[in-house]
Amino acid sequence: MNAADLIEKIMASRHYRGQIAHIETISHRGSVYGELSSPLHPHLQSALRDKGINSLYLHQARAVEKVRRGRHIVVVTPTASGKSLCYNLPVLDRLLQEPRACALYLFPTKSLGRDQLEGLSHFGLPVTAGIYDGDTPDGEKASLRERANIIITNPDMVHRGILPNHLKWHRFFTNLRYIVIDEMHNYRGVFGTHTAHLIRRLRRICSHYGSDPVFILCSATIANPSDHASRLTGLPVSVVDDNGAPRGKVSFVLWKPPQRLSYIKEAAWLLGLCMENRSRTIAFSRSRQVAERILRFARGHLGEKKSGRLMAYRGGYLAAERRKIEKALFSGSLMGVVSTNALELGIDVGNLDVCIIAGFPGTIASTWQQAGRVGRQNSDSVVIFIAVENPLDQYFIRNTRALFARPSEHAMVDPANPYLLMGHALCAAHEIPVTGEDRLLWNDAFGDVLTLLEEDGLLVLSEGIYYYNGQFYPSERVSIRSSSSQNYHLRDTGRNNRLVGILDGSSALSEVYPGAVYMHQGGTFIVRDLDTETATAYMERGETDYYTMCHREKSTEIISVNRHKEINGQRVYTGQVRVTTRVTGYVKKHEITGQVMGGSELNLPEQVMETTGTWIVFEDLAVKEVKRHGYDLMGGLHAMEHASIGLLPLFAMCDRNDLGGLSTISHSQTGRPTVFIHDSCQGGVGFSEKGYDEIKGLLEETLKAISSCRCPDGCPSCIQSPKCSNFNRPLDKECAVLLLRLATGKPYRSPARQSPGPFGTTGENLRRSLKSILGMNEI
Amino acid sequence: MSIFERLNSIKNRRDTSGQEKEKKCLTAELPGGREITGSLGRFLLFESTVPGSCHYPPPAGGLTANLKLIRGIGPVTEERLKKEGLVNLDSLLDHPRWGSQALLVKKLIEEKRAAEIRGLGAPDRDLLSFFSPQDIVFLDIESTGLWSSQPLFLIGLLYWNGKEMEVQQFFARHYSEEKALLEAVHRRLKAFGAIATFNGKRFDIPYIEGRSVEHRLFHRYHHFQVDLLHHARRHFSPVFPDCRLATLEERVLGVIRKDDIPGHLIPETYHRFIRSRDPGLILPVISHNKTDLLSMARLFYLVGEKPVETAALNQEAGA
Repeated sequence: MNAADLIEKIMASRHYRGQIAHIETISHRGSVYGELSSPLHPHLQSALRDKGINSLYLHQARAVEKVRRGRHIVVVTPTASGKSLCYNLPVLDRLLQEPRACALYLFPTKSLGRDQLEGLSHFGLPVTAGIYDGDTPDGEKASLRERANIIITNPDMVHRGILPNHLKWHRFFTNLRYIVIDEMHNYRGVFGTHTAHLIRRLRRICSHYGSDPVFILCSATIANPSDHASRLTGLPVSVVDDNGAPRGKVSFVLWKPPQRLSYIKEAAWLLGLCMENRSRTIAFSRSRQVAERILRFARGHLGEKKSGRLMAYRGGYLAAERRKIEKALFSGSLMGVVSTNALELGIDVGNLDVCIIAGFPGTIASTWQQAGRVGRQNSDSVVIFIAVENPLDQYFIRNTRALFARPSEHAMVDPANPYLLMGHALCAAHEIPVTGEDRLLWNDAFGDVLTLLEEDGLLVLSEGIYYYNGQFYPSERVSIRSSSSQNYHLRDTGRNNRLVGILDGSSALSEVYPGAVYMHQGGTFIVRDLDTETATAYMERGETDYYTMCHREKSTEIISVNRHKEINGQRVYTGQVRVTTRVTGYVKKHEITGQVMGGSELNLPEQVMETTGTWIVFEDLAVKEVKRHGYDLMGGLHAMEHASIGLLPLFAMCDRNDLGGLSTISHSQTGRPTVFIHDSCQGGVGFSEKGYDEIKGLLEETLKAISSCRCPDGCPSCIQSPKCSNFNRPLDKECAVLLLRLATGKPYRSPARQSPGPFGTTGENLRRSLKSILGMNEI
Repeated sequence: MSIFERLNSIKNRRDTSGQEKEKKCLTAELPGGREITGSLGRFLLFESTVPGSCHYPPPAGGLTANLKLIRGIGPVTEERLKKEGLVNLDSLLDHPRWGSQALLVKKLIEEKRAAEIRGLGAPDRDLLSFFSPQDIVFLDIESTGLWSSQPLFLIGLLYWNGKEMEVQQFFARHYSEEKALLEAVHRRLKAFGAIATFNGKRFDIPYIEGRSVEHRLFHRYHHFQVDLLHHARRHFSPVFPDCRLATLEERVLGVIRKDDIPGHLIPETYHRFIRSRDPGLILPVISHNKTDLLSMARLFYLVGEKPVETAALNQEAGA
């Protein structure tokens, strides 16, 4: 069924109540081919012909050319544009000419690595490639070290397995010509910063063995591909984004579920409707539980007979299982799959007609990767984005351009975070003693961290060289997936204190305090005891009709200011802050009604986190204005804090859980009303610093998000935060609008609070025709 | 003080004092050591002699009588063949089934290809018959870590010169002397056919090889290796709580070390010596290494299959 007919069918359904907020049509685009200045190796050419590839797309040709000239590149093209050829071609071309040459392929997950190995083997070329990870048997590991041309692995294995044993890898490092890093945008935040250090350690070992490999990176669309690639590798990286791959027409539908109706049910209904209209459909959900609920509801719609043609499609599937699903989709015996976002990463699921995105997956880049599952080649396709009730989802519904405009998201890493740098400095010194030259790979912060480690006796300095002097194996102490050196163990008292999970130390106290209801892998646990000495939480399984929220006392101390500026009369700062948190108690709330059912006080130790933050300080004039209008200043600052944290992910790729904030009418150091936004990991990774750089845009978008929300006093879509430790009290929406207008230099007029907007709140429920909705902004 | 604050103060120091002063490290002088200039630089050599001899196991000529060296012959077949009067490899040469293989093994023995014959299952005791006592060197290293990415600084060798035991200890006064030391030891070891160690198969030899990769020397040691730890385990693991060298000294040799530096303090001690150049720190490490070598030499008889002590020890344990 074609796209327009399908949309017509959806709108004609009796369930339709004007949920479509906007339809963006992305037009069809033909192929653009490129030429190589000199041909590929004849064996590679014939292998390509066997795969049915007779000419290269423009971006593929450009990539090959640049790599041949020894340039480091980052390829930024959409999903399914033939990205892997951009690295496989130059690598295989070189390996055929220089049989001793080697390449290292890094993928963030094991399953992506497996897919790539399969892809490489299809070339049928005399090249030894293998996967080297935790699942590789020891015998095979030794043989790969001795013989492989291409090693496919993940950052964790490089960190723990390969670099510390570089002496065994000298053949490989001596001949290493290329390092391929796919899904580069995934290396951001804490994990990205760890990876940036890992790459520097890798480059150091390469130069020790006399090699200087070329980096080939691939990324989804982000705002700063070249800059991010350079920060990750420490090298100048040139962008290849001349996408030459064809694409069919896509109708991108923004869908707003009616209030008080579950978006999960909407997704299930749409999924069923698309399948009934013979459209092959994939639905993405944000979690496994949601995927299962969508599956259950959709099967309910479809009835028994057609239910069999809908399947769940989860992470952890083997390539063969995926091929089976793909085949079934292709043949039409399967019409729909429900998937978690684990599958958005570069894995090929075949040709589909409709993609339903149930809830913003966290980044615009991910949204497009999910949307890229449909609309290949010349077929028409439909993407339906279902907004959930939270600020970012609603933002995209109300600001329809945001998803389709130039990318605004920056992938952030902060190689200067001393907490993460210290671990890697030790690992580096353990691998090979660190010399003055090595400091050039890092930055000034590296030298300072070395001095600090020497003062602590973990390194020894002699004649300008730092030697490792610790008694432990450093890469075992550094977890590249977390910023905390201490993790909490979660133990199930009902099952002999069996370990059921591990929780990052920085969030443990506010999640597994005694009495907390803790959800883990679909099960509900009640925490009985928390031992902070041994970092262990003891809990037992239980069914409850309530959830718990903790109450925290929090203070923020400024350690130093890095930069500051003025914006429309208010001062903005970024720098180091110390955040002290103490969990003082918790309340039980009824699962459905949200009514408070009791609670308790807690006596837990303080947690201190040093991180980076951005803060805005309001001048006296602003305070006067607030008073003049009779607004609640504290409520305004608090609302502004929540909303701006909710929207910062538009600029810095992160989750609102990666951020924290604090607002106060008089901070002890600034002496004035102050709103802090800070990273919530030790040392910080640049999220809130990006907020400083983009403060004007951030405040403007925050203002838009709040003032375009039609709720009277604030709701989860604008100023309420799901993780607020003060239970979203106090909040003053109108005061936040006033403060934000002042900070963005806009005049403020007090609203006549009673009069509803031109459409009124009931307008939403009216069924509208397709014509009047197309291109209309709901403000 | 927090990490941020400490780093901020380090940064201030850097900004105000410019480049940090680097302490120039002079090479230390140590009593008893002689400075050697090798092909790749200088290091210190400690030489001494100890009266007496290593406890070599009595020469055993069991190789040609060991029919189990032939692939396919196990203890049962061997016994049957021996009953038939086929008592050694020579007598098997005309055997229709085993003849050709017997010839191959015989050749290996004639060519003294110890490592390959061990691969066929020959015990160390028999293989040692290829080497004269002067051909065997004891080796023990001291390093700054447990993983060969960390520098080593001392390689001790002990061998019998026909009259007495000689000890040569190659010592790096600074990390930068390690390469010269490795090269000198590599050359020195060419004079020997077999290396005896305590846990050297897993630790000392791979460590030295690893360090040589680090310095891009790529030394390989193809010597016949006897690891005393394996033999100690074979004899004592059922009776002793562990088979560490100190345990063996105490329970087998009846020696208790006094004022010996504990092994885990050695890396730290060497780093401190580099900074302070205090001979008092490092001389105990050098003598510790020498004691290890001497104990190994005294325990070498364990390579023989049934030392008399074992039975006595078993009785003791049983009593």
